[in-house]
Amino acid sequence: MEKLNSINDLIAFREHLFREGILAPGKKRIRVCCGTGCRANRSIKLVNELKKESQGSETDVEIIMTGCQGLCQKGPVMIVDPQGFFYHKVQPEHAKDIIARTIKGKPLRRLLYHRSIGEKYAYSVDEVPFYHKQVRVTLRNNGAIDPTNILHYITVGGYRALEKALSTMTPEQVLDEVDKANLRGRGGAGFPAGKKWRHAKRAPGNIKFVIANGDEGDPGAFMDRSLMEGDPHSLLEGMMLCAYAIDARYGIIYVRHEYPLAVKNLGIAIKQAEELGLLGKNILGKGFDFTIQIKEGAGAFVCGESTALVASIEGKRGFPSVRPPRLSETGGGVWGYPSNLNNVETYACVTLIIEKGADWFRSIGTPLSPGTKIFALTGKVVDTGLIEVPMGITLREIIFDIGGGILYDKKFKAVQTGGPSGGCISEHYLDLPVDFDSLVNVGSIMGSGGMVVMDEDNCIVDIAKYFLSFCQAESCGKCYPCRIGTYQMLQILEKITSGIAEEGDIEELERLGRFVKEGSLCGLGKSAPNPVLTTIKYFRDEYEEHVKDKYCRAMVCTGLGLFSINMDICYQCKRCTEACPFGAVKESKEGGFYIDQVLCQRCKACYVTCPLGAVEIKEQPVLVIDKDTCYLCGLCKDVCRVNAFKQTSTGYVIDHNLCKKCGDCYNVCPIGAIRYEKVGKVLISENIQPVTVTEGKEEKIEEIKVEDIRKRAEEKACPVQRSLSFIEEFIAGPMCSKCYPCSLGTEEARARLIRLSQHLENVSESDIQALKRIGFNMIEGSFCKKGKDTGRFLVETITSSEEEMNQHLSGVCPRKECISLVEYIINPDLCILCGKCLEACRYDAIRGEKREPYLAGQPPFEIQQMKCTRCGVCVKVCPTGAIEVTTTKVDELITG
Amino acid sequence: MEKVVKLQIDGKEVKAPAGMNLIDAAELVGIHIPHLCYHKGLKGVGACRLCLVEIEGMKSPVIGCNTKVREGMVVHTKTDKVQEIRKFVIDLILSIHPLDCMTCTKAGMCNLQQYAYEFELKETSFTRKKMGYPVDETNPFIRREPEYCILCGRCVRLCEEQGTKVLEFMGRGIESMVGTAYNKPLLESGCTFCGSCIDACPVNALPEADRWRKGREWEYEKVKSVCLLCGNGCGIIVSSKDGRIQKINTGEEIGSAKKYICAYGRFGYDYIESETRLKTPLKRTDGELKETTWKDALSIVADKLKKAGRGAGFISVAGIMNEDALTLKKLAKNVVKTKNFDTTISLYADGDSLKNSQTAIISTSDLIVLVGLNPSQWERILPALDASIRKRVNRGAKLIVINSSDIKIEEVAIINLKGNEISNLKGIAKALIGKGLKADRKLESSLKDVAITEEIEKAAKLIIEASEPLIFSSPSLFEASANIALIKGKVIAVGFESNARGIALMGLTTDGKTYKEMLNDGLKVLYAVGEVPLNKRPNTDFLIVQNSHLTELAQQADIVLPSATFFEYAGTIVDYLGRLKHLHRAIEPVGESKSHGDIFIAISKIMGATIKKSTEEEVKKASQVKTKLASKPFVRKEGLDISPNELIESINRSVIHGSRLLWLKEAVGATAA
Repeated sequence: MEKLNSINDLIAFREHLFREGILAPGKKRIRVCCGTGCRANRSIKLVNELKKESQGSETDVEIIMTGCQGLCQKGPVMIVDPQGFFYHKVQPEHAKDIIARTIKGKPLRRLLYHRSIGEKYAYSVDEVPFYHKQVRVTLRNNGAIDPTNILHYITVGGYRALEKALSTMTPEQVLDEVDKANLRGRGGAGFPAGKKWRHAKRAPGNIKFVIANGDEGDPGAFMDRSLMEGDPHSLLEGMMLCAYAIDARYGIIYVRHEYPLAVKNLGIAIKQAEELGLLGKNILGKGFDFTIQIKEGAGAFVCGESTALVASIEGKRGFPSVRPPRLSETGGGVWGYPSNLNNVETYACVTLIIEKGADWFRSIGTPLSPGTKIFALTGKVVDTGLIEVPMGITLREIIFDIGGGILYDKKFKAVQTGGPSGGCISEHYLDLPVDFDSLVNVGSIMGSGGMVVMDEDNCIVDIAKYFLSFCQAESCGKCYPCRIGTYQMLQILEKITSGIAEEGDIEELERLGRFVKEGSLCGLGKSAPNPVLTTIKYFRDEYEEHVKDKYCRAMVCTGLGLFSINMDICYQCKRCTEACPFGAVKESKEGGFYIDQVLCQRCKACYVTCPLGAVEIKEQPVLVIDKDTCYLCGLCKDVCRVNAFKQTSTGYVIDHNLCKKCGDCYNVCPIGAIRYEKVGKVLISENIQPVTVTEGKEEKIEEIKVEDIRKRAEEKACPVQRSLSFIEEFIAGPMCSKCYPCSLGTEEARARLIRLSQHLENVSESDIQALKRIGFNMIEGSFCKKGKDTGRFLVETITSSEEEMNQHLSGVCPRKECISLVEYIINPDLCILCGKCLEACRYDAIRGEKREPYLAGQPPFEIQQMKCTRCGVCVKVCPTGAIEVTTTKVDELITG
Repeated sequence: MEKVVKLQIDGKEVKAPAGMNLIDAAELVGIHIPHLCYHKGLKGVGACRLCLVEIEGMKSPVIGCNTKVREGMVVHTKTDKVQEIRKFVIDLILSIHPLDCMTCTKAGMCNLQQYAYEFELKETSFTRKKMGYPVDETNPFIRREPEYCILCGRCVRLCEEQGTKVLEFMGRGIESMVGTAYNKPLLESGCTFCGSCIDACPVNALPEADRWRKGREWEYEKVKSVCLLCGNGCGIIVSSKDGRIQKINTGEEIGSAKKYICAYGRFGYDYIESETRLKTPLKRTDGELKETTWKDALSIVADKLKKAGRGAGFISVAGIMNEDALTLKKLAKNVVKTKNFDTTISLYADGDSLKNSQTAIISTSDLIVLVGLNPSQWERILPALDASIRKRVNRGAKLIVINSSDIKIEEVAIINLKGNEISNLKGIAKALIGKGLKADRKLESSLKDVAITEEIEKAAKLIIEASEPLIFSSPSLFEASANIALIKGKVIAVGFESNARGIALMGLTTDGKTYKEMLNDGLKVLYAVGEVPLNKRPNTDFLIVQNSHLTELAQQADIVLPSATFFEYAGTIVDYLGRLKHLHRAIEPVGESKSHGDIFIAISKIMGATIKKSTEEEVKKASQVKTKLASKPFVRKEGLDISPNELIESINRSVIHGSRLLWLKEAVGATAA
């Protein structure tokens, strides 16, 4: 290609292309979408097939690979000219038919678009509802031209803006035009581009940079990507205009490395523009020098922030830095030179403004936010894809008219705009006109244009958690509020979604969010709490449901809700029993299935597996005891498998946190004193009255001698009990707490001994070692004889009966004195039903009926282990010795 | 003249120089604005968000570390809003920081501990998290404990500014941390173990490797002193406890490089108590060195010196203090009456170049010219000079290197003139005159046939544009470099020993035989002071060695006198920039060792003459030498070409071999091989 040396050269060249017939109307032409979405759906193969087919035919059919055409959901899509037939979901296998029909000039009906069966087919693009309300001006070339061919771009009027600016406008006039158009930055905050340019122009120095921000990192956003892939020249042209206006000579496009096609197409575009003399030195003979380079980012979200982006271009770690200096000032931009940074879409708009004039631009959109905006419409809508709409359009129009409503006719819940830094907007604001300021007013932002629609199946807390976890993981780590603050917020959200949240967590979340917003260094941290704060603002009831009722209405969060099987639906396929990893699905006596709430971990395996939807997730009720009705029979306490019942001075209470809501107590209560209630309150400690200390007369305490304690202790046979009784009496009596070995050592010894005697968890060899050590150290270190004696007693006891001590480690008390390790059992062969034990038992632990001896043969007496305190009274009164003391451990070994 | 700005901070009137940030300005009136990531002398980055202050007329709080004072500003540093954010930040940090203050090395000095105390935070109100990072214990100097790290980035920025560039941030989000490239051990990542990061760390993430249980910060007795191990003469602060040195930090105000000392200065102090340390005088009897008393040893020395008279010679290192030098001169000249006294300076410099050097401050210079010098942190040749030049370059100063060989500091130079230094200097001088600067005629006429290259032209342009050009030259090229300074700028000859300039000023330069001549001329008595760079006994009848350690040379001596190290007595030196620096006694001398000066006085007493102890006034008087630069021919002085690397290593042999520096030497040797 020859270099174009003047404006006239360019005009002549364009006319020459017209004559050549490039993109001439009326010709048979197939425009296949080769954007990233359609490429993934084999559109390249489709193009190859089409080319192969058309070569064989006599009629000439031109096949063009274009950028993204918008309706990504139904890709690959294509447009067949000259009639403009719009085909969707085209597969390579259709190629033959398409060519055949195209040659005839007829449509291929089965590929035409229609939303539902019975609806009329849309023949051309304009008839597709997805495109109805769109105003595709920035995206005008996406889908019309081949992005890798500069000739196409020039033919459709490309570089006309540059031509106009260089030939008829001064740099100041270009700036004025942009100012007049009130073009606001499409990157997020909506700062007026003209103002920004003026700052950069005013900065001293003759080296200035024009930078395009193509680091589009929001999940679910692909506006800039599609522009760079489908129409790279309009970006280049916009940057040239900016460079001309602010007198810059160098341009940099910062693109994500994850956009390989964008990088490739931009590279081709720059090369072609350079070959034609549209980039480089003395552009079009006007003495204007400008070059553009591509800088690939390494995939950090924070690098979309301007100062971090500058650091990244300079080859440093993408850390944001404090402003001032701003980018447009000396010392703030790349390598310290003043730089102008705009979003890709902003530059693309500039091309249009200069070409068609500011007035034209202002005629679209609202007065404060003129022009159009590209959105990436994703989520639970029928037609997802890339859309361009005039500012001021309502959310309802976007979602229901363009997007075709919610998928599967579900209920709309919220729409998330602005990516992870934006907010969720509720149904209440569906008729909100979309522009920069209105979105800010409702707590969200325009952002770069991500728009994620959510329906009733989306849990709002889960959504907030998702976006926050994204920001948390992408935090650069420089300032604390962002790095640790977002982490802590995430911890609370994690608590809420897994059903262990406490009252006040939502408030804490709000407090944290506010601080993170205020305290963070850069835009990432300042906006990271937005999704959480807006969802709390608009969906507080849903948060509260999670916290108080332990219920997730969207049934997304695991660890919440009460799972049950609806036996009216269930056809007993047993899939849930296989799916449950905890064995919580059990067969009931009546023949059906039920879920054992104690075992159920709310993992949702059964819910997902059930083919009929018989597994239901309901709100968690709260079990309460009616104090007035309850007569303290204790049945509920016996039946409870998680020990949620606590006995207080005023009766039983249920520990809300331990209760699994299995309903066993409800079923067992003979008088219906247990009720289900909805809203939960903290029930523990509610009814426990503080112990009041009554002031009494000072009693003269008799001094207890260590010798007496020793005598009493030696009555015990078991060494553990012997030491324990000594230590306990010592602590209660003569211990003065003056020296540490005594006060702290005995306390520690007591804890270890209790652990041994009750065979608590974690009991091990080290406990006995520790006891020995404490004993020795007390002998050495205690201040007075009392302590030394205690230590000596400990050591003597342990060393003299080491074997018996060791047996405690395996849960066996050889002397059968440790009550936790033994059980009292009535030997039915010896029991004569005399009832003496029944009378003696102070705890009502023995059940049975008193009979005359000759009536032996009746069911014998029984000891209720839950109530038995192993006080030993019954053993003493039994005339026949029927009550036996057995080791729990041994019994388990035999039976189990 | 700096402009002074008036502002109000918390109701107090403050007068601060323009360009100062708010934290420093508040400090002037005793108001402390909390901060963790800001470090005096480093640029503010605004990461910790603690220094947020409210300024009247501004919507939101601004950070104090990056906000410059402005006329009429009204600042509030303790409003409820900022206090709340500060408390929040500390609370957050505590949630991922170990709370083991009772055993933490940094307790008492830890900024985080201080702020937690101030904001009444006993515990964090958030979920606690432990990252479980491993501790880097692969070297005996610096211990890295990432678990404690609060990511303030001080160490990273400091390391980068001084040009070592070892530490950098890694990772994202909550898992970001400070590490080396590929998180390798420090030794493998190019670390020079200068330990600057230790001084910068506000918490316990980077302590000295052996600090654990070597005393708490408040138990130390701290003394300001100067390190005499190389030509930099850096200011240090020596912390001692129970009469032993426990650690050494950089001296804050004094010191030629404000915040930099090298591994020698920071970690070399172990040598004071090494095995070879001399505690008593030694005397050769029956061919073996045996312990003896001071009285006996000194009487032998006095006797020998008296007999030898003019035939006696004194050689010394230039790492002794001014007072010692004056006393030594008196002893040799007035008591022994010999003209033969010289120091190691004559191996690399002449007295005139050192005496004629100008005084200057690096921290304000905007253009530095290095002539024939190779400062290097990595080889430890004038490491602090290297660090301070790199620091200046980072702050926008420019560097021109004129050197015939490839050197490492070239990488930060803006212009690098290779080839013969003399011809390059000539070229610059001519280019400067060509651009209209005045010079005396003699100089002008000597530059007739000099060629000017493009690079030289550029260098000359930079010198003209600079407001304070500073030329550092090797002593052999001093006179040639001084010719340029005559036209513009200041010139300094840099010696390789700490008190080279001081020794020259004190006049300890020979009237008789030179250092090299004395070694070979077969003197009757040769008296070697300090660790002279010799392994073989020189040609002499009787050799006296006066040193702190039993070196190879000492083992061949006839009499060995134990001297104290510079930590053990007070004195002064004059550093290469011409500043008089004071050394204070940090610990008592080990064993019976005595300061050099005291030994000389004792000898003269036995010889029947009394020398008074040299005082500071004497030193000051001697150092007030008025000199004027004059144009000299462009020549390189011959015979001064000792390798600085070898010299510094051999005069510090006892230090390196008697401390953990030996590990470094061996480890570096092993990685190089």
